[in-house]
Amino acid sequence: MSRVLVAIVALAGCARPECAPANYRYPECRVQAEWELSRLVTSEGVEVHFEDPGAEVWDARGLLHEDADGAIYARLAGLGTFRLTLSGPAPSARVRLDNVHPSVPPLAGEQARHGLVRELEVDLPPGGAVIEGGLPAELCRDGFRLAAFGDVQKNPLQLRRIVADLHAEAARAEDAGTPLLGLIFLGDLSETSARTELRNVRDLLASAPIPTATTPGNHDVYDAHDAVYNETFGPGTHAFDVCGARVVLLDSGSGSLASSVVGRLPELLDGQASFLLAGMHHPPFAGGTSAGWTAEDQAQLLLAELAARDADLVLAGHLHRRMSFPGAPVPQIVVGTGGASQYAVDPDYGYLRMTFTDELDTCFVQVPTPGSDGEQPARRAPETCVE
Amino acid sequence: MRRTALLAAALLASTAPALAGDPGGEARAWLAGGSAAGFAAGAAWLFIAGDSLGAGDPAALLIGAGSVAVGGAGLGAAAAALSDTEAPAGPRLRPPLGALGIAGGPTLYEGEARPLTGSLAATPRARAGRFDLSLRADASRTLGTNADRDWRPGGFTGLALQSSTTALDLRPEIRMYPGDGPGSGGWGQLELALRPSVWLRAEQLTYATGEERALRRTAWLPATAGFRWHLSGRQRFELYIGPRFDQLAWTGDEAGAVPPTLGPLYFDTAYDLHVPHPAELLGHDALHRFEVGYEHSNFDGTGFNTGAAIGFAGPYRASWDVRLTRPERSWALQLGLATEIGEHGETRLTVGLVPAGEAG
Repeated sequence: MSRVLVAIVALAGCARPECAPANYRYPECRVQAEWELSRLVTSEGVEVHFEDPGAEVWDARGLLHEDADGAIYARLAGLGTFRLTLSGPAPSARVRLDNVHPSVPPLAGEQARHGLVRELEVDLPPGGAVIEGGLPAELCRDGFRLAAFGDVQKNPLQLRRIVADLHAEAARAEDAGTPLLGLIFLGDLSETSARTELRNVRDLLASAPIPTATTPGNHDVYDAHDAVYNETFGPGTHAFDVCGARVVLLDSGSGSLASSVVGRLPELLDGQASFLLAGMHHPPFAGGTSAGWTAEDQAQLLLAELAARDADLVLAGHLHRRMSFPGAPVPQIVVGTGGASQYAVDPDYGYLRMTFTDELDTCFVQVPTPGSDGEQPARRAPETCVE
Repeated sequence: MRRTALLAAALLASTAPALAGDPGGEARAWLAGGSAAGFAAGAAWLFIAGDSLGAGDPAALLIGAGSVAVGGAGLGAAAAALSDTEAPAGPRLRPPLGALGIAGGPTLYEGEARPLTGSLAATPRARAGRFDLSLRADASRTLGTNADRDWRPGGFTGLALQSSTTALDLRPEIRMYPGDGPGSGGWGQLELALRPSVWLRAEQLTYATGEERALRRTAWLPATAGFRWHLSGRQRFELYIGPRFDQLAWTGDEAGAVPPTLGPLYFDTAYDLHVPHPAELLGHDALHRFEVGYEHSNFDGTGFNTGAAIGFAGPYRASWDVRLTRPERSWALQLGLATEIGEHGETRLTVGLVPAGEAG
């Protein structure tokens, strides 16, 4: 209805800014929201914003808000290096930095840490201050692992089991000399985009041994009036480099990409990384499935841009199973196996293990439900990991 | 709940004439009843099984076809209550032999551009016994360049994306009349058709960085087939279904191509109603056609989304066409206004010419 009214107004010659008022079911409005949420002016006048570590310019690389106790809450969106700048009249600022890998060396002003959270007391000289950090290069000298899955929806208990298994996975990865560096969550974190559901998922992920980079699915963007996903997790479209792998996550929750995101595809995808991965909720290559893109033209454009850059892998959810697509122009794996209903007698839940050495290897780590027999015959690709 | 009530009302309205012994109403009743069952099954399938569908989307077919059939049956029932819908209204409207069109919508946002799209279509046809052969060619192009702004806060004032599209749709069709034509009863109520298609889209894009990309997307629909059912002299329902194969090619510094690979299932369904104008219109005999339809394809990014059902459905459409004829003229004029109901749907106006032999 709002688009009809806008059209009527536009016919009268009164074209206006997009997202005024905002409808967060449309991707362009979520882009605006995630950028606004990556900067903050606190009650004490301290200005904070996330930056692109390479370019040192404002970039939507995380979520910022002021906690009730006056501390600045900053959640990192990506898994690699990070940078925040602070300036203002206050002599110092308390910062609660969330979603930080435990292996990131101590940060300037660090007072305490618990799990993925760092508590910082940052001095604010007249020229401002910077919080920056990242994984030590020697950590991934011999390779590393990432995990990925999507689609939890109405089954947060299964997410809880997966998070518990990630601790075992981190130990396995350490033993293998390819440390686990992060988790990629491919959308449909919630069922109804409710703030309580999304916060529950965020709280569950706080127990993980590694940080999580997320992007929304169609079930996460119901709410037209509040950018609930972005207010909980930060940007849905973001890119980061982790140990020589460039990971680009794209907000396809509306079955399409924002035009401003399409326009930035070269900027997001280009880089000098050894590996290029793209992750989103809706698989861009349909391959006989319904896939789920409203804008199939955008999906095909995305495939062309990824293929032109010899991308190594496209990750997606939406379909509640594991699937490989051998005919795709870029290797594509769907792992919507985080707990959403599969209407199967014995669901196939778990996550994708990606091991980066000289090449990229993938396999599926099953996290069965209690009472499950585990491996079933004729399971789909990717194959189950063999320890 | 409200939608269910509306569908039930349409179903009831469409069945009422059957109770009164109206043959067209009986056909509508069968169509609406069967389609309502199909709609309910598809809706249940989609909302229960949801995103877990891994291969194809028959649920969307049931919903799309069911909603068009039930809605159309309701439309037909309303028309039957107001006028005669049984007697044939003369040669039915078909795509014109040649037509020009213009399509588009308003530019909604400051600093952006949404130029109109111009089109040219031709549909030569020939009849051979029980077979009707035609070839529809529809070419269109944006009359300018689409421009999207970068709306990010923080001083991003330039254009995010510029694009233009040239499209060509080709559709040969073989249509068979198994019986003695509409009105003859039995198989005469049906037409069978094989209508393979190919859709070509050449897109030119310029990104925010100035980098350019030319993209050529092709959809091959080699085996689309279906039927048209004449519910009465003036009302028809049709459905076509087939596989789709998508092909992709791109130019630029890293040119490449992808051969045809299996894509989403395709189908198209429509319900139309012919209504003769009660008197002369602008000095001409006029025949109107009203159509509601659904196309299961998001190839052009115009799908219909509702709630969390995003990306499952293609666009609905509604159209009105009118053919103006005068006995002494060898050509009839056919005007059309059609709108797509979905994301970024367009409204198209067409003007075409129909040979007098086809216009009656």
